[in-house]
Amino acid sequence: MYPVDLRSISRSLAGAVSCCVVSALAFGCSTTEEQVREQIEVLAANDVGSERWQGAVEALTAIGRPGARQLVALLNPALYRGTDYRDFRGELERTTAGAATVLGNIRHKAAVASMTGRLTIANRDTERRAAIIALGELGFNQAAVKNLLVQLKDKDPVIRLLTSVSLAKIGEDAGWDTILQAVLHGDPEFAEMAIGELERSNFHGVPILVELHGGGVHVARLDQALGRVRDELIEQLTDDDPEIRRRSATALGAVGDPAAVKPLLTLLEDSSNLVRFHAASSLVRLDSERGSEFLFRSLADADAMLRLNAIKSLVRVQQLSGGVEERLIACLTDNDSGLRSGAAQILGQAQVNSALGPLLSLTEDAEAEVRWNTAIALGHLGDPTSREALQRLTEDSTETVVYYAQWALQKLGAG
Amino acid sequence: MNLLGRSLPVAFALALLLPADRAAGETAETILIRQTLEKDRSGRRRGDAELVLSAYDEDRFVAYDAGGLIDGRGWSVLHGSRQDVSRALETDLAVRRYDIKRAVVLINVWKDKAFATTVDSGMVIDGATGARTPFTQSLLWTFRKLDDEWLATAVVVALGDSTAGPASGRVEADDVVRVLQQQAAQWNDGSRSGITSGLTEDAVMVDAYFSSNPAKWLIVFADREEIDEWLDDRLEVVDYSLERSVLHATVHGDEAVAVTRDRVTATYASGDARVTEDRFSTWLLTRSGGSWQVDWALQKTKPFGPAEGATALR
Repeated sequence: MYPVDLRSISRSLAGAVSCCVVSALAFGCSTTEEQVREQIEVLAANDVGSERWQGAVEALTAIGRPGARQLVALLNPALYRGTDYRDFRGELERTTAGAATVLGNIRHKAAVASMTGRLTIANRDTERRAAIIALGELGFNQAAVKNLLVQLKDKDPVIRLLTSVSLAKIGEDAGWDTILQAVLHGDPEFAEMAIGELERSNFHGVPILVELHGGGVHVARLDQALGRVRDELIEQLTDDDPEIRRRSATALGAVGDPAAVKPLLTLLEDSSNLVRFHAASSLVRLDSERGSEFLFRSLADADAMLRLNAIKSLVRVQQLSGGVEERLIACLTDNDSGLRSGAAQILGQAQVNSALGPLLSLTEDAEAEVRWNTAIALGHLGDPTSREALQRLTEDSTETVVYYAQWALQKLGAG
Repeated sequence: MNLLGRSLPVAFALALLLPADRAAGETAETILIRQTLEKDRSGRRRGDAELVLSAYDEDRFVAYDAGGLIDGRGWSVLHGSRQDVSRALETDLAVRRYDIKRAVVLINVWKDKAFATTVDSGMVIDGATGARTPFTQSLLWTFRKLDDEWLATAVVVALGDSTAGPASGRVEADDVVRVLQQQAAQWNDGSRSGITSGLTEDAVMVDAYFSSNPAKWLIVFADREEIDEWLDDRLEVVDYSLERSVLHATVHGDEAVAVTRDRVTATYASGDARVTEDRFSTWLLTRSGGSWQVDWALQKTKPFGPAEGATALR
């Protein structure tokens, strides 16, 4: 039996519920503590995943952090005593799963310790699953990762799958293979569950969805999932949080859907440097000339910070899609020494072997900075045919050039 | 001398008093409870009945015999009062000496109430012949805290473990049956005052979570006032329906042990969930002013099946 979808909480209800909560607060109908208590009773009285249970989760999510203390208490069975006592195990299950879901939704990191206590097999599956999903929402935490890794060995494939998705969300790829196997080799129901989990994992699920998409199975369903994620990501491009905008922009580059070009273009004017560069990188991956223009213009900018961001972005783009190789090689002969220097760095870091010849020519560049960046690039490429040119650079008049030429020769090794 | 200078020697002395093998999770309360248990053990070992009795509540102390079972249907009242206990103890210690060690298996504390289980092991030495007989016994203790001192209010001797099977109950006390049935009727009526009128002021409720392992049990209410408070809110949101059968009811003096089987159905004011649950509960009752009142209740004990093939460990 597969789990109730604990996160399929209708976003459309959020506004309405928020209004109710705000109105209640404004008119002083009851305190926040009382409102939380009322919603906890709704959790207790309705099956996990039912409409009313989800409504309570939504309402508590809208209340947010002011309700967190009461919800964390629901994760500890030892606290169900005195006036907080509940005499039916099913009630505990419903309140625990609800509390875990809400605390995950509001990203209440202080709940990690209580949440990990709900992972063990002493708890019911619904509670374990809610806690696993919530830990994925709470972000990286050493204790959470340690406890989740244990769940990867659980005998229940659903627990293993949910754990894998949660680990992926907190930047750990230990469960990546579990997810791939579930989709590629699981029965249709289990594969659907895995795709559904990825579909609901926002930008975290994109790299795996993209890899699966290339696998040739469940193509139509994966198309649908990527389409849904794309829409969610596009919506998030206007989020208040620059980190959400940045990650959404990056993921849209990976999704590879041209429909994202137009909304990404607006981010080239974003107030955050990082958001602009990640949006530009994604535009390049989507074959948008405007993205390339942005990055190469920044590469030639007088502002060192912009140049640095451009180099990082172009390395990433080249590594992921190889779409800027020709233009970078062309830059090696540009009149602007900044462009020559930057292009050499990028081609080296991205290990573009076809740039070896033009880079060797650059070892005799008039600008010392270009020569030392060329030496570094040749070191990264590690091609033995560059040894002679690098040997010559060890006689260079500029100390920095000599230093990096020796470093590059070391990278080439004896011979 | 400054505060630090005065405090350090005191702290050092206190540290020396702490047992070396203090278990993880030990609290000030559990340390005090261990001291009370140690008075009992030490008194038995030395043949000092007064020391043993100093560990017991002066107002009320009852000894129950579990008969090697964890199933309450096999329990009975052994000594119904502190006076009875005192007499039996003096007689016993006059003819036997207990060379025993005591392992405290668990202590569960909630507010001013607690329970503990211990395993005593060693030798019983016959005073007349000097014959030594190996001795092992599990005990369940209940406590209350009075003026910063933890005192034992009851002991259940010869407690069985989870391997001890079911027992056949004996329904011998109609008045106890009547009280328990009346209480069930009060639940059906949703009457808070009706439910708690059958409880002593100090009534303790333990949730056994359907387990025969006391380590999983938890005191959930420490007195009647707390139960009242809980019921005030609870009966607003949950509607209970109880069908109760009394499976065991035995009396000795003014003390009684009973076991009930309840089919509980609950519906909620705030939702559609409906719960039906079968519960076994063990009740320790006392007669006060002519009427029976519940003093301790172990709710949701392990649901043992029929008693056929029981393997009581004695």
